[in-house]
Amino acid sequence: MSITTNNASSAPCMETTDYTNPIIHIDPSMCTGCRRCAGVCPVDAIEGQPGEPQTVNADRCVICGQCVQICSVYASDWAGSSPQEAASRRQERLRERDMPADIGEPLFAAYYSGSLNKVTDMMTKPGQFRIVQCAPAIRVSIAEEFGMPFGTLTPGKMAAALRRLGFDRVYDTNFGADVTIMEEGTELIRRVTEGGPLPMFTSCCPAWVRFAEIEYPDLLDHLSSCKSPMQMLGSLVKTYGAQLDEVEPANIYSVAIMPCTCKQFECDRPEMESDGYRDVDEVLTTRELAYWIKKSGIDFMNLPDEEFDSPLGRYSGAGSIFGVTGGVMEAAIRTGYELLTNEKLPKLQLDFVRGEEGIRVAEVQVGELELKVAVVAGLQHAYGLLDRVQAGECDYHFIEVMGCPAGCISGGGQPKLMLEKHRIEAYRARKSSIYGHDAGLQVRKSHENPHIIKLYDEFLGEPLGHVSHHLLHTTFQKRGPGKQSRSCDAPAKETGSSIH
Amino acid sequence: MSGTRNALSRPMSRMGAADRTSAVASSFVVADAGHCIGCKACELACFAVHSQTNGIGASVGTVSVPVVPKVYVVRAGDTYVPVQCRHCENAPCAHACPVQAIRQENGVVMIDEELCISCTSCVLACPFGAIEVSTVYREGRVMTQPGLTDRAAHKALPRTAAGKCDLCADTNGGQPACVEACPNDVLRLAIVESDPLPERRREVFFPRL
Repeated sequence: MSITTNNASSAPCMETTDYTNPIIHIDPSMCTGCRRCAGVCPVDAIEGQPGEPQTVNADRCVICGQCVQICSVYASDWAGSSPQEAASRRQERLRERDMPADIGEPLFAAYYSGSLNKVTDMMTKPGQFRIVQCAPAIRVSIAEEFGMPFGTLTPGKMAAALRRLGFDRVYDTNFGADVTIMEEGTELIRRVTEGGPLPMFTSCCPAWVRFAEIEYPDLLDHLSSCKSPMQMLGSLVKTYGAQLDEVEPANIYSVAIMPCTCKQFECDRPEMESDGYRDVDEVLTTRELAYWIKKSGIDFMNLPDEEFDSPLGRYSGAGSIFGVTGGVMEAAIRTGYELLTNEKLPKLQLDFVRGEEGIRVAEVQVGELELKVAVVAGLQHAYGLLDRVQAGECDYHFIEVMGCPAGCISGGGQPKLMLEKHRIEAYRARKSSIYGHDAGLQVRKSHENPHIIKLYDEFLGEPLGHVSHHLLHTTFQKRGPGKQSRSCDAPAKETGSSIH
Repeated sequence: MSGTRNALSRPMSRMGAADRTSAVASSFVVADAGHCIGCKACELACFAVHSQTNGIGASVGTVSVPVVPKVYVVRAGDTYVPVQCRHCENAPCAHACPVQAIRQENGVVMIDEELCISCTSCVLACPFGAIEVSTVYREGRVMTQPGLTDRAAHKALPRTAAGKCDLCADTNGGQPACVEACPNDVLRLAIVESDPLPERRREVFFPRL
């Protein structure tokens, strides 16, 4: 008894695209056409009739992976075929998905191409200095892949696991996030004081950047020129890190563990390299790291807590909150406030940017300046705001946009939940775990991170300086004719706030 | 039909486990075929709540056994519909079971997996095709059947057992998992009060000629 149709499936159906390696796919031999994926897609990239297999329009897709998260159509391998046939069909699907052959979990119609086979092959190559970095949102979610409660915080076990998997240096994207704050905060101050395109948008989220490139190409100069924390750290690993470890950048193999399906696309962008070396060589998702840990027989939950390597693995609380919606904004205000006013920020926990609404707006008194900020979570909420920017009616200074509904903790590469009712619960637990992590750290502002101070003293010079410009900033490219007609009536939560 | 009262019109969302177990006769999950979109969320939810002995948590990554649910979404033409055990009052599956592995508890027809000998008599007897015989897993591993070996390979064969909807009898609360998980509100728990005169129904549907 099964609904699975047995159409011969070749490679998953894809249309022409501006990038050569589509990451998000829907298996036409499995898809039942329920279109729940279309319901969560912020850019209407999922096309097809109800009841028929759907396709991903790769030109529109922003690779956020929310369709992969929601898809519940799994392969009933036991139905309608012999065990041998079922096993061989499963192996074929695993190959299509670049997934390791020994994975036990069910396969779903919507999926993303993996990179774990490629990474494990490269790890055995001799003469390489293997470096890994981990995004802030992984440490609050990976334990769920081992049956632990939602949001269990495991930075130490994660570092220990990565070391056991063979990495020579275990660094942290949170350090990259601290660098981002230094660069982006300085850029904002410069734009506000010297007159630059405002509002300035964050550029950490690759799905958002791709969205802007496709839907609002005329607004690209509003995006901060900063690379994302992952790319910044990747670039520092092969320059500053290489100098410290006295290794050739050419021999460094740099891997990033991300909660995001779009990070592979970002890492493959041609402009993401410095002096001929890719900033980041390969990206794995949270789920892929869990496959790897299981495959290697590592008892994750009983690992000792180990430290990240220094200096590129030491982070402030501000770096760690990048994993939640509003986190970049909060981290930027913590630093921007102090740099602009030369006064101590009286309260570090900025509740007015924390929340679950699709759009949150606030006014923050920073010295003489009344800084108007907005936080967007979920790209479907960005349209209205961007239309206002286009019309010149948006007087905000700084806008954070994250593609996924609760920020990176809800990314497309995060643990996939079986029951929809768990989603909100999981997001809340992961979020509170990230904020708890921040609150428990001694240093909670990026510019007070001693390793960041040292980085600027020894290597970068000053934010937005020559070296920074070369290594940490990037350009964007127009990828489409611009927005299709659509409306967005997302209500915004208006909050006025003064830090004093 | 007067002797049978279908309780479908009652507000199901407020009907908890206590209501179900105190029902006089059978209750079962009924589907509104016209609205099913074929997403299989019910199947996944069913599997998730029935796999606690296999260390399965909330995340797909914790699953190491094949997904075998107790509700099946079937397709007929353009229509999808989830099908599962109707908890028949006269339970033909129980009549067919030679080892009394099938029993009725508070209106819920249950299969005792330990007693089941996988003879598939119940599968043949079920008018809805709602029973499936499948491999038994414990702690994420295949259970083997002592005494049943593949002679050529010298290895014990997997133990199998019949499985079907038990209305989430072990979850102690609220709605069955499939009802809760359905994004389109296709599934509802119906409680059918006992009809002492089943012949009268037959007269309605199969009038004597």
